[in-house]
Amino acid sequence: MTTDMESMDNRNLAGSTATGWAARPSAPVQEAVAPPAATAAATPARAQMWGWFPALSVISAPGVLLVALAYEGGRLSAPQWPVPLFWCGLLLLFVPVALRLFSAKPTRQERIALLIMVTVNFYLTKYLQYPLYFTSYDEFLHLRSAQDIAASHHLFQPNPLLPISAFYPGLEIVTNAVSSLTGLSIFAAGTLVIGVATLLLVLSLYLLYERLSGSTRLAGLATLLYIANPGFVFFDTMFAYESLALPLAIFVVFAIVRRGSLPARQQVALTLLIWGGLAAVVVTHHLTSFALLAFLCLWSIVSLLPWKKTRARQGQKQPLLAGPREAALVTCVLTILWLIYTNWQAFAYLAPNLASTMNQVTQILAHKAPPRQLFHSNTASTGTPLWERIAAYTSEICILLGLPFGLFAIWRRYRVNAFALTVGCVTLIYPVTLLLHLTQSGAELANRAEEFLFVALAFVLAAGAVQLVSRTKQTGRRLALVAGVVVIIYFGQMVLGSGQPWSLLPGPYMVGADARSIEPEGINAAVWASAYLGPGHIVASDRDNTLLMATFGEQMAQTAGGADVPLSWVLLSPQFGSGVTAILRQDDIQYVVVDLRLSTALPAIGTYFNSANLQPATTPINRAALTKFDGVQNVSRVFDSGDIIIYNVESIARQPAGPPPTRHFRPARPKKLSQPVAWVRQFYLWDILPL
Amino acid sequence: MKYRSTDMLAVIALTCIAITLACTVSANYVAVRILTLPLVFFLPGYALTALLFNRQRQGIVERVAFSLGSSLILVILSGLVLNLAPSGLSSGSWIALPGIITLMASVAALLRQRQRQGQDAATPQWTGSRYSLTVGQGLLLALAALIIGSALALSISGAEQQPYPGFTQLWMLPSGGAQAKDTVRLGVKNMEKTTMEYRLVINMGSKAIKQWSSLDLRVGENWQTTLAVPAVGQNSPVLVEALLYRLNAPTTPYRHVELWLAT
Repeated sequence: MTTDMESMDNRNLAGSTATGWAARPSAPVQEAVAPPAATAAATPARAQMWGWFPALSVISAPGVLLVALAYEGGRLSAPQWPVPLFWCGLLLLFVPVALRLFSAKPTRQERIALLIMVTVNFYLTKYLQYPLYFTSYDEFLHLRSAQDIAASHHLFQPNPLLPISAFYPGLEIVTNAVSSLTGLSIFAAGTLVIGVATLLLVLSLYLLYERLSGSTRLAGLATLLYIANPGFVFFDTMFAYESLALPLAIFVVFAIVRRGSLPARQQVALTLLIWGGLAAVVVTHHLTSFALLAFLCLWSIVSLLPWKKTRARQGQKQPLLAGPREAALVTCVLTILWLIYTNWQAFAYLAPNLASTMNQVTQILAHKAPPRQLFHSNTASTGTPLWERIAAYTSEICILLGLPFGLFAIWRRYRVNAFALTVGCVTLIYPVTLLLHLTQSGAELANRAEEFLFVALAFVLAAGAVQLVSRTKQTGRRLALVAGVVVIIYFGQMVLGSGQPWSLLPGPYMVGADARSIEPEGINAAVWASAYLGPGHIVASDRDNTLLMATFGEQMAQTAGGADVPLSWVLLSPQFGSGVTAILRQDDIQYVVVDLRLSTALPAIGTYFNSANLQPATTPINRAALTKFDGVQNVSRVFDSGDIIIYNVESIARQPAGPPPTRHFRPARPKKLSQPVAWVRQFYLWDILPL
Repeated sequence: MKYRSTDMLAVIALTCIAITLACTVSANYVAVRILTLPLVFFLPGYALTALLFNRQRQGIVERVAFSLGSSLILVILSGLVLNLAPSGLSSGSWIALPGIITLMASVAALLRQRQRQGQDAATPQWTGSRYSLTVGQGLLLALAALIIGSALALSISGAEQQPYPGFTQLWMLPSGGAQAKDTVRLGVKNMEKTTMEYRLVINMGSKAIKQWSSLDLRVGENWQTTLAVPAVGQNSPVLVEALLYRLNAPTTPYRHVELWLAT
């Protein structure tokens, strides 16, 4: 006897709504899955099963090709056509699928296939941009951790680029497993890991939304809206710890919801898996574990609301381990234990950003500082085009206008569902994050928050959209309107996520432009350093060459300075004097890597160095400042490739110290904090008090 | 045969194959070793999920999601455990721990399924034919794959051949060993777009001590040598300077390095 898998999934959903409190729509949704008997009776033909998926795959595939052509145009510095081609490609990837998913006709199988296709295509979009090696700033930070694990076979090796990365090694562990077993390079292994994680994210999201709503249509649309979030294509697909932690967190949340539909006796085994998942999230990314903890706590609180209790008393027997409370408790315990184990470094890492954001918000509210200029570009070339700005603003307006509809739909259909209510509450944070974009530090925070918030936002907006087209007859006009809004949201969010115009496409070298600054001369200089100097020397350089020296060059490269003294002064100082000498000695610098191209332009990202204390550069570095090491006694100029010069300053750094030089910067502040009390004290003295 | 028994037997077989490949094939043969990928991404989670959801009816999509998620979780937690072992996270330990867990979970799931075979009338059978495609659909998907394949080829070849300015590396380091202060190592690497002709001059103080009047290097070619320099004085460090000229611009130094030889 054959049982249709589709109907089996449908029965699972039906089962969950019958026994589980976690996923019970208050009213049946129009597109809710059909009862098994009906589905079994009307077994669709094979062609109907996949529906438009094969045709849409042929329609979408040229979108990937268009994007690849646009990238090629960027590499060849073609003047006009690459950017429009890029956006046309992205539209082709999304719009046909969105229109199909909006329809009530596709089967569950077709919807899932379409979502997987979109995910793969978007992932390729990111991969094709730089298909040979990691180029993003964040990717280099984790590449170093992965290299350290591969070299030492052990975790927690000091990472000069991002010290905290070594203490959240989940991504690097999986990459190491793939690399060790298959022999693939770290780049190839990491690309595969992030690809699988992205697939897990989309599948888990779909299943979560489906179980929550009981509607394949709503689930498909909500997942597609999540894919439209600004970070999905350009940030969540990076080789960075959040790219793995977020899919794991969504998977764990889905497992918690899924557990609610199991009989109490069978929940124990799944609970162990959930706890394992929570532990994996906690050791993979600090911010994701904090966000997951906050969400589980909120969900726990909402599940205690009076009408939920009333419902339980009315005969809804809750399973033994159903609900998020025990998961919230376990997450809290694991997070605290890991923070203690890692010496609270996550707080020390995140606190300055939070404090800086608070400070800037206060300044703006008090009219002491102007708000951050949106869509501002540091390069001398043109900024974000007007049409892109309009698309971005329109997208945000559509989201804000759509939120009330979505929240109303949530209240109307799912108000007895604690999870749905929690999701509704979370979306209220979104408007606040938009305001954070007006501050320099807050913009980064808001960008990070959006990847989490869109999990809730996508469901709420999809619920509103589905309700809007389902309330009355599905007239073509209404469908077209809502589908148009979804496309506008997608396009605007892509514009927001794509960043500065110069970062959209690969192209010639630019000063201080992260991926655009990674090019063969810098890479070869770093490879030379690894081969001829040997690994592990303390090297000072600018932001981009630091990345290269620390990864390709295997050096202890840094730009921040060992005791938080701005090491940048070594390169910025117009003369070689006692100030420079003191910093070299203090940080035991052995080599200085100078990139003469820094004197030719302002850095595209605003700063030449990776130091939090530095203000954005307003003038290019003086070339004389970069060449000041020439002719200094005991400073050997050991490498010259035209633009990149490497100086050996070991003799200077190891000479006995003279009288303390006059410093033009604020005194050093302790970097490593030994205990929470010390951290709180530091946080108060340095961050709260100045406010 | 029941679907669940078949799939667990397949998991056991694939795990054994992956372990065998990882143990016997050199890591240089990536094309073969790539077959061990499921041991990280899928097999451990699939076996665990089969054990957890033994009596549960679980759709394919949910099973795939649980397999991927559980595998990643298992690998991360395994990494933390392996870190405690002296061998750490090595190829051997990655074969051992996930492999053993997968095999144990598979066998346990298989035994439980065999015990309950026949009890659960709703145990699904393999319905792969329901997910098959018509010829037309297959052709359409093949066409899509072809287009995406061309996009991949275009991007990879485009990135490899991206035009960048050429450059030449010149370097000089003290030679290691007991005669470090009297010997230097020199190197030139041509990363220009064409074959280059150089002239290399070594000065000590203001005096030329060695010259290579014609160094012809092809694109990507590396030239290295070790050079003994006259004895260094006892009281002060001495500067050794290397100047690289292009033959088509013989008076303008193209690259310039210098080395202070300590006393």
